[in-house]
Amino acid sequence: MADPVDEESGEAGPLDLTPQASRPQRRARNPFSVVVLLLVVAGIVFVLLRTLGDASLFFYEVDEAVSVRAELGSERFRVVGTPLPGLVETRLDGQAAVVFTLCVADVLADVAHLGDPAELFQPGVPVVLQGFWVSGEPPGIGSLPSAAEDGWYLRTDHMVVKHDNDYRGADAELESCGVGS
Amino acid sequence: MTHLGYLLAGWGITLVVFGLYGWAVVRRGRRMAGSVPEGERRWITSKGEDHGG
Amino acid sequence: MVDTTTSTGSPGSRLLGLTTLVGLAGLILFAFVLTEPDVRLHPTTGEEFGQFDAVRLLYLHVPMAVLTYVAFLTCAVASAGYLLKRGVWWDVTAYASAEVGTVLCGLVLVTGSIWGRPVWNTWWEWGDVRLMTTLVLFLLFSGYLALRRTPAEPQRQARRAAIVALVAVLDIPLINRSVEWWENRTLHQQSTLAELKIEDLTLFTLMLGFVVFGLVFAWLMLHRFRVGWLEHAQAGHEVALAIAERHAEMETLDVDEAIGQTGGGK
Repeated sequence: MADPVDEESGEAGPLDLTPQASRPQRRARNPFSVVVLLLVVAGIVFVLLRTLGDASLFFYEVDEAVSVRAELGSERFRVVGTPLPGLVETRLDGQAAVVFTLCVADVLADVAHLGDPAELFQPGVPVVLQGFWVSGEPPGIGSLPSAAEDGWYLRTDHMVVKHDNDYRGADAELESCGVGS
Repeated sequence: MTHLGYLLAGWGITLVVFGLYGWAVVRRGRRMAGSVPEGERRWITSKGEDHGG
Repeated sequence: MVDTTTSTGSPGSRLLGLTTLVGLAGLILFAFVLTEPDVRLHPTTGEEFGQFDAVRLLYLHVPMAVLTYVAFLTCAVASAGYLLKRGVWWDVTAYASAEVGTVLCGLVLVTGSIWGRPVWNTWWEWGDVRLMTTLVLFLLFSGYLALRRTPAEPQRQARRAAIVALVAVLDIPLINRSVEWWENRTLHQQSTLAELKIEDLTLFTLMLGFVVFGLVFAWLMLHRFRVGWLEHAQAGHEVALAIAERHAEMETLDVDEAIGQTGGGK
């Protein structure tokens, strides 16, 4: 099938008019397209800067966060872990908070999360929290069935649920951790 | 049904965007088809016949 | 009925369109009525947990994500084909698949965000590697489309766009493997299908989603390709008309000149 525009064809008789047709177009600039192009470049730069900036909030598993607690000090970071059964609703510095325990393997860490937990927050379903280490014990910690109670807790204010990849209903497995796991 | 608003938003936006985009493409095609000689419409080799899909 | 001679439609494409619409109706039936929500009973607390009905968004989000890869990979292959062969068919295919792919990619980002709000508890997470790389892919191909609309000499424009597509498509392996390579930098779960952690009607509906959105993709590609072909044909037709006009002008001039010379010789 023949191409509608024959790029190689020089069939112009005594006159070669093809350059004349394209010259004015090459000079023309569609301002809308140029603005969109610039916005796209600016968007990519913004995303890269934002991502690199956010990368400083490193994801730590609970056991890593516990092992580097001294180095982290009051630095803000992300922590990934699985909540153990048990949740205490309380108040911390005049704000509503929930207290629970996170685990990875047999390492535990207590958490005081400011605000409501995520809608699908459940024991056994991993969460990613943002916050920092605080020395002391959060209120209501004694009511939890298996708290770390090691003199430290994570004070967090941002919670997202890290959903698993299991859609098998009754056969689905849960993350298991905690002492004796 | 839980999360009905999210479901309606997700499915609704998808179907509306596909519908609008599909309509825009077909409309562009109709506008252009009239200004191109019949023999250069790739999916038609002669009037009334169809060799495309 | 639309006249075949004045549209991008044909009996075949109409049959495809009709099949797609029936498929979409079937998919909606399975996604909303025949499948169960994702609900499990917690072994310790006895409470219900899972994604509940939000799982029904995955029947469109996941197939569209995979078709986004297909569209942009098609664009890359066609771009490479254009750079090697310089044929219009390759260029039109590349442009069509980039445009359809960008629509799909935008919808993947939007539906993912809508799913993420109830399931993850956030509309957007800047620290998530898969979200970031997908957003970058969307921006790269938006740039590709803007570049194609910037007026330039057609062959040069096609060449530039082909190079941009071949660079942009390198983002796809990063998106796809990000959940394995940066497991702790993404909220996205690892592949469900690869580990076969899905079964029965849920699996069937997801597969049906791949087929139906595949049909949507095929229908859009077909019509968008034909529009691109018409654009090239129209451009060629206009140039041919301009040449014919100039020839006619020159012939008139030659005749006038000849008449003038003859007249001058008198």
